[in-house]
Amino acid sequence: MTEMESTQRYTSIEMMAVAAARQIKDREVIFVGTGLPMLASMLALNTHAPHAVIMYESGYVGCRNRDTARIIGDIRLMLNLTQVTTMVDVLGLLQSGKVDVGFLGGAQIDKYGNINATTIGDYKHPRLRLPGSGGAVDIATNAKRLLIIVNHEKRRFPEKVDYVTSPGWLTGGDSRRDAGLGWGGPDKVITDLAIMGFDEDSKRMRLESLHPGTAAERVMSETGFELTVPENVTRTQPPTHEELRILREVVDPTGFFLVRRMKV
Amino acid sequence: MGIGANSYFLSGPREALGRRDCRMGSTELEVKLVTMREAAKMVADGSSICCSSFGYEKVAFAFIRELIRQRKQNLYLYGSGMNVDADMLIGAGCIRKAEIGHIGFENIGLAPCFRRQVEAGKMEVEDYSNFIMTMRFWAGMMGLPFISLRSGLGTDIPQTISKDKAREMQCPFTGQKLMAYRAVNPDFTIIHVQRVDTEGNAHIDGPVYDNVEKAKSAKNLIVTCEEIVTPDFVRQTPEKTMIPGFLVKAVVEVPLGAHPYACYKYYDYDWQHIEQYAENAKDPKGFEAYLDRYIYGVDDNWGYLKEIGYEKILRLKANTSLGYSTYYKKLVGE
Repeated sequence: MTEMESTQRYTSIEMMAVAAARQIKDREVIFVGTGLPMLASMLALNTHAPHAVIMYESGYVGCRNRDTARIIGDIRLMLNLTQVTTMVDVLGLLQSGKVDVGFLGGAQIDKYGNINATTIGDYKHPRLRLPGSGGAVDIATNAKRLLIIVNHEKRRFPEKVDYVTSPGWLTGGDSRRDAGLGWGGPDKVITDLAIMGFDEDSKRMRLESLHPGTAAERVMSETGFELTVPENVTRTQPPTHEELRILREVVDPTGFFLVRRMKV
Repeated sequence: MGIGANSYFLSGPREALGRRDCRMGSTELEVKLVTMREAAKMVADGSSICCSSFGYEKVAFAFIRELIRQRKQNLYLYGSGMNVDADMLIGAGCIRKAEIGHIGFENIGLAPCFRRQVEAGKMEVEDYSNFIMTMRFWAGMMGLPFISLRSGLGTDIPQTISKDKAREMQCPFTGQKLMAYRAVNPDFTIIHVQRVDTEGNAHIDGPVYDNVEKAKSAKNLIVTCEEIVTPDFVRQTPEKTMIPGFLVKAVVEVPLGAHPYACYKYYDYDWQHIEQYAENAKDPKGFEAYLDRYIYGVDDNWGYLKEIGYEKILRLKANTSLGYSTYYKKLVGE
């Protein structure tokens, strides 16, 4: 990767998609939510993870779509699949522990990786009503590890989310297991500024890698809680020429995700 | 205008198909074909309904427009992953309360009418997840009173649902923590499919999502379809039959009935129209103007399609080898 290091210009969305895609290993089974996870998982499939199995809750298994899917129920996905099945079937596979990676976006995320996709403000009288869980609760509950992709803004990283839609590490420590969730939990949070992980014991979010040109102070000031900063914070490798080429020419040639202003 | 075409479909091929279908038994089976207006009239104000599929495909959208045209009120909406369909019903004031997995436009943005109504306290909403809703329909289909699963544990979801519908429980055998959710049996489920025969047997091409669970859990099932086919045709490809005719209360033939959504192998989603709706609906006046033009201002789906225009309709037609439209990119200027 280093010798191919990009001198090209790239956008923060591209950096985010590339950093997220690199988290996926070849042959993993990935359950993908709507938004940027769709872009990042297709990039992984077309670069270093050609045998990854991409699943959507709409019942699609083994997605290799030719034209960019805009939504997770997109019939463009029907063109090149290994299986189309029912929602009960794919979500049942997820619940039975057969999915390696869950991949979600979200409106708000707190220091324990709990995600809010339901309401900002009071539930009964919200300041902002969001779409609600969709399959996010099911993915965050049941995938063996969870990747979360979200824009790094202070309002999106509060100390505590207004509503826990998707379970992260709940209140930290063993609280997730105690709640009856025997496996899974947030692994990485990928933003336009950095990659975060979680402390093994306290389960608090910690900084792990800074994207090129981003100072740790910037990440702290865009985070609404005290982010743990270990000594060994690394630098994210910038996108390579090849990653950018595939992202722009193969995964999203019409710029649906990359050019339009995404509302995660 | 649309009236002539409509009556042709009412009296022409349908009767011919109906006469040929009763070769199996000695008793003639009831032909359940009705008009859209008649079908929507069955849904009384205050009924509970489920009329969404998943994403932007195979939703009984023409039926939803007819519900709005008939100015239904106090409907109770059940659904999993819902989008423009639910937003339009909500904006038109048809919905009193909804039990949902999701109402949003995914990568277009938030659902504007849903947002407005909930934020103003004008409708009630109860949040589940897509899997929870799907399995509640499944329990309803199976004749079970509840379903237990893991989703919801540790979250705020159970706290915002009334106790008679969601509770934490322990597995009676292992003691494992689980959530229990009440089954759903809507008064009416309305699904849109590609083909139905004159006995009500419904073929679904492509993804089925949770439409079978939604259909089979309903007290009354209405099926709208792109075309009516002969029972012989269904009998030649029974693996495509997702709903047996004996469950179906009424069938409505409505070509382009899922527009602006897609119908796999028939036509693509009309992304331009969906974006236009999303933009219009941000403002109550824009939303009203949309309804005036596309719903209140026309008599039926033929009138609606006239507003959409023949060129758009032809451009949305699915390419046989792809299942979606190749003219689509030109349409949105890509």
